[in-house]
Amino acid sequence: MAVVRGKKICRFCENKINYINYKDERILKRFTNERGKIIPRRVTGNCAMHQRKLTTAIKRGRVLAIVAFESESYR
Amino acid sequence: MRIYETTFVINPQTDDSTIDKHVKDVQEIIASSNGKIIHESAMGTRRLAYEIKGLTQGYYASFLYEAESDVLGKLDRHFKINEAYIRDLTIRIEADPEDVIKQIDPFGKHGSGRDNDNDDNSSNRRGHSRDSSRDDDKKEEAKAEAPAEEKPAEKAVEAEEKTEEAPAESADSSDSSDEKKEL
Repeated sequence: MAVVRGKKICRFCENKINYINYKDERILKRFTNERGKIIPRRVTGNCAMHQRKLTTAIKRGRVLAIVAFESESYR
Repeated sequence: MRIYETTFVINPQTDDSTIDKHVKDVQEIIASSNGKIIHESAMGTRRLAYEIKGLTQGYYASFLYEAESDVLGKLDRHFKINEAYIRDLTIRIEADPEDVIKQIDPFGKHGSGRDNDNDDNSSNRRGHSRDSSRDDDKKEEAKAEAPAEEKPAEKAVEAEEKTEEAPAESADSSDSSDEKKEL
């Protein structure tokens, strides 16, 4: 039973965001999973340009301890 | 002259005047290189995503400015010498500074915002209600600057997101509760 979904739209394009703020924890968190990994754009539907910018922003945020490099270790 | 943005984290375990002095020092260094500050923001004390030198909180401040490139060396030296700075990051801004200011931290306008945001890291995704209230703040700011066409679009996005994430989220929460039992 396949779930049919419409084409995903890049949320940054939709809201006309040209610059992704690496200090905005809310945005960075939204695009990382619980372990702190960056969610691939095949899942989020971001366009290539914004995924690139987002990746840079998340990595900058990690340096500044705004988002974690990794969290919640599983055993 | 180029546009840079410097963000730094100060050890918050001192009194406010010392923190202010550290912020001012950076400002002076920028000024000494013909710097012109376009925007400054103090995000205040917030929880660090991971421990640095045994600290769990840090005072965040940031400057967006235009200056000669020799400022980079000076800042780097300053941050390295002084142990009060626990992290610093200077980046060159190639985007339009207007865009950058629009996206700059939502707390900036509400003054220093110290101790506002401490327990925010504790919940990963369940803070939807809190997030939405913050969204509202942001929307109000956006209204002042741009026409309010964003609002319905963003709502749609939120809704879509919720439907998408709902199954995953429930799975996550059950996972995490299991884990807690184990612990």
